[in-house]
Amino acid sequence: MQAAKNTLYVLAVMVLIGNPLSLTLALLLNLPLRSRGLLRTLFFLPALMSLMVISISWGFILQYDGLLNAVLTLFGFENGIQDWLGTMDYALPAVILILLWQGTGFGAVIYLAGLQSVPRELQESAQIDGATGLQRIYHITIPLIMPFITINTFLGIAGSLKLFDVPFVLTNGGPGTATTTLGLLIYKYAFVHESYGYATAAGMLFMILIAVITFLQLSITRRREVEM
Amino acid sequence: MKKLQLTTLFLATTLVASACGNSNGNNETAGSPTSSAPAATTPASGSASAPGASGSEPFTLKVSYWADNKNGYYEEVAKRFKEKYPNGTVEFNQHPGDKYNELMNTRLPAGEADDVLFNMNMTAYAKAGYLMDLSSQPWIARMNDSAKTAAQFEGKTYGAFLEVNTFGVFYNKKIFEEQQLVPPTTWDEFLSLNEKLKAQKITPIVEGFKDIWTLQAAYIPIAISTYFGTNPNFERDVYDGKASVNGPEVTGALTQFAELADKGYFNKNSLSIGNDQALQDFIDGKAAMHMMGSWTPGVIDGKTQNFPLGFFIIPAKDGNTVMSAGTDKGLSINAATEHPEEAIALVQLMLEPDMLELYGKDNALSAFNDVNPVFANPAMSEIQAALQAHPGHRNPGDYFPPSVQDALNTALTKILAGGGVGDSAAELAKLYEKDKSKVNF
Repeated sequence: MQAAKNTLYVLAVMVLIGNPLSLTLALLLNLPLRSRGLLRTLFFLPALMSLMVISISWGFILQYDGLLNAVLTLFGFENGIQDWLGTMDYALPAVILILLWQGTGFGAVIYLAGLQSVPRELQESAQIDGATGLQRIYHITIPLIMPFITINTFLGIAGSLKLFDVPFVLTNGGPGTATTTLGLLIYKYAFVHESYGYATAAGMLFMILIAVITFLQLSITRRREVEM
Repeated sequence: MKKLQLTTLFLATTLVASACGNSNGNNETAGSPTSSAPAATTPASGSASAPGASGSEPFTLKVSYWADNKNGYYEEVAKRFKEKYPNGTVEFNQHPGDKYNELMNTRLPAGEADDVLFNMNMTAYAKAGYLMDLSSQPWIARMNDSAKTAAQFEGKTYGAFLEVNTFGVFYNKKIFEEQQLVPPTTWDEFLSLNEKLKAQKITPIVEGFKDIWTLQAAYIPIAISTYFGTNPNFERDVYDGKASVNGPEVTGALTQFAELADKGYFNKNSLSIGNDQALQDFIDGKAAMHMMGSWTPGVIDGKTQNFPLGFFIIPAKDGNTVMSAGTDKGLSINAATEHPEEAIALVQLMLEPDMLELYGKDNALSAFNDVNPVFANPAMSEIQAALQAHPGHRNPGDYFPPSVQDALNTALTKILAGGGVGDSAAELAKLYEKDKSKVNF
C-alpha cells in the first residue's frame, strides 16, 4: 500500500511540478540570451548520465556526513542538518528532487523543439493586436505545442510509474517503506522474498495498469491538440 | 488509423510478455532437480579419488564468493588444484556482500551461476533443485552438528559450512577503562552504560546500516535471548501454530532495539554509512562499541595492530541469556555445472584440514571438528569463552521465510528513522502466514 502511495506521489509531483518546470525552463532557454547554447547544454547534461551514477553521487551529497550538511554547517545552520535519506519525512522528497534535477532538462529540450516550431508570424500578429507575453503563451504557444505536452506527460507518467533505480541504489526503499515504489516492491517479491509467481503476477498487473493510465492520458491530451 | 496503431502496440506488448513467460518455463526445466542432479553425482563418486582421470580437455571452474580474501586462501586453492589438474583453472569471482543473495537469486534461475557457489540459502536452493546432492562426501563426517543440520534438506546434504559465527558487542577497552565501565550483566546495566557514554559525548554504538545485512548484526545479539531465552523452541512453535510472530518474543526484541535507537545510542549517520566505514570509525575511537559478528577481530587485525578489543554479549531482559551460534559461508556445487567431477574434487580440496586452517587463521571459528585455526587476537578467546558459558541457538530468523526477514529489516530501518515499532510485528505475522511454505524445518 505504502509503495502504491509513494508511486502515485512521485507521479503527481513529476507531472504537476516537473512538467511545468520543464516548460518554464524551455521558455527561458528560448529567450535570445548570449549564453543560450551553454545553458542548454548544462541543463541537458544530467539526462545523459546513468541513473546509477547519479544516484551514487547524490548519495554522497545527501548522506549525513555529506556535502549538503557540510555546506549547511558552514553557513551556520547546524540545527538544519539531517540524515536526508535516513528520515521518514525527507527521503522521498529527496528522491523526487533528484528525479526533477535529472528529468527537467530532458523535458525542456523536447519543449524547446516544440517552441521553435511555433511560427513567428502568429506571435508577431498577436503582439500587434496587443496581447501580453503571458496571453501569448497561454493562447498561442501552449495550444501549438500540445503534441509536445502530450509526449512529455506520457514520458513523465511512464517514468514515474516504473521508477526503480534511484531508490534501489540510494535507499533500497527505506527507511522503512518510505521510498519503496511499485517497481521496487515487485523486484523484492521476486528476488528477496523469492516469491517468483507472486512477482510475475504483480508485474503483469502492473504493466496493464501502466498501459491503461498512459492510454487514458494519451486520449485526453490528444483531444486538445490543434492542427495548424 | 489511430485505433489500428493502438491495437498493434497492444499486440506487440502481449507477444513480448508471453515470450518472456515461455523462456522462464524452459529455464525451470533446465535447472530441475530430477533431471540433472542425480545424473551429475553418479559418475562423480567413482572417479573423484583419481586425479587427472578427467581427460585432457582444458576446463575452467568458476567459484562465486563474497568474503574478504585473507591469508591468500583462494590463491592457495587455485595453485594446488592446478598441481592436481594441470588442465584445470579455478577462477574465483568475488561479489559485493550487500547484494550477493540477490545476485545468486537472479543467476541461478537464469542458469548463469558459477560452478561452485558460496551461499547462505542452502536449503532454499536445494529445494529449488539448484544444488548438487553431496550426501556421499567424506568431509560431512568432520563437520560439527549445527553445520550438518544446516546443510541438510530432506535428509540429503547439499554442501559444507566453513565457519561458525556468533554475534555480540565488540568494545574499545581503552574507552571503557577511561570511563570506568565494565561489561554489563543485565539489560539495564547495558542501557545505563550507553547513557554514561552518551553523557560524555562519546557515541556509544557505531553501526553501518546502509548495507542492510548489518541490521541483523545489531538485532541478533538482542533477539537471540528475547526469542529463545524463555522458549528455546520458539520458531518451531510458531511453525506449529503454538506461538505467534506477533507475540512477546518479536515485539519484545523490536522494542529493545527501538530503545537503543530512540535514546540515540547509535551513531547519527548509521543509515547513511556502510559497515566498512562503521568499523573504521570504531577503530578510530569515534565510538565505544560495535555490534557485529565473530569475524570482526580478524578484520580489525587486517586494518590495524594492537587495538584494545573486548567482547561481551547483551544480557537478556527476561529469561536466560542465549548466544547465537550460526553457520556461515556455505559452500555448494551448482547442479547444472558442466564439470561435476572436477567441482567435487575442488570442494574436497577447499575443505582439507590444512586449507581450512589457512582459511580460519585470525579469521573465523571453524565449523569443522578437526580444524583449529590460530588466533592472535585475544578477543577471539573471549568469544570462545562466552560460547562455552552460555546456551547456544541458531540465529533468530533461520526458520522465518525470506519475506519476513526482509520486512523485519524494513521495520528496523523505520525504527532507526524515528518511525517507532508501531504494528510491525502484526505485519510480520501476516507475511509469515502468506509465505509459511518457504520455511524449511
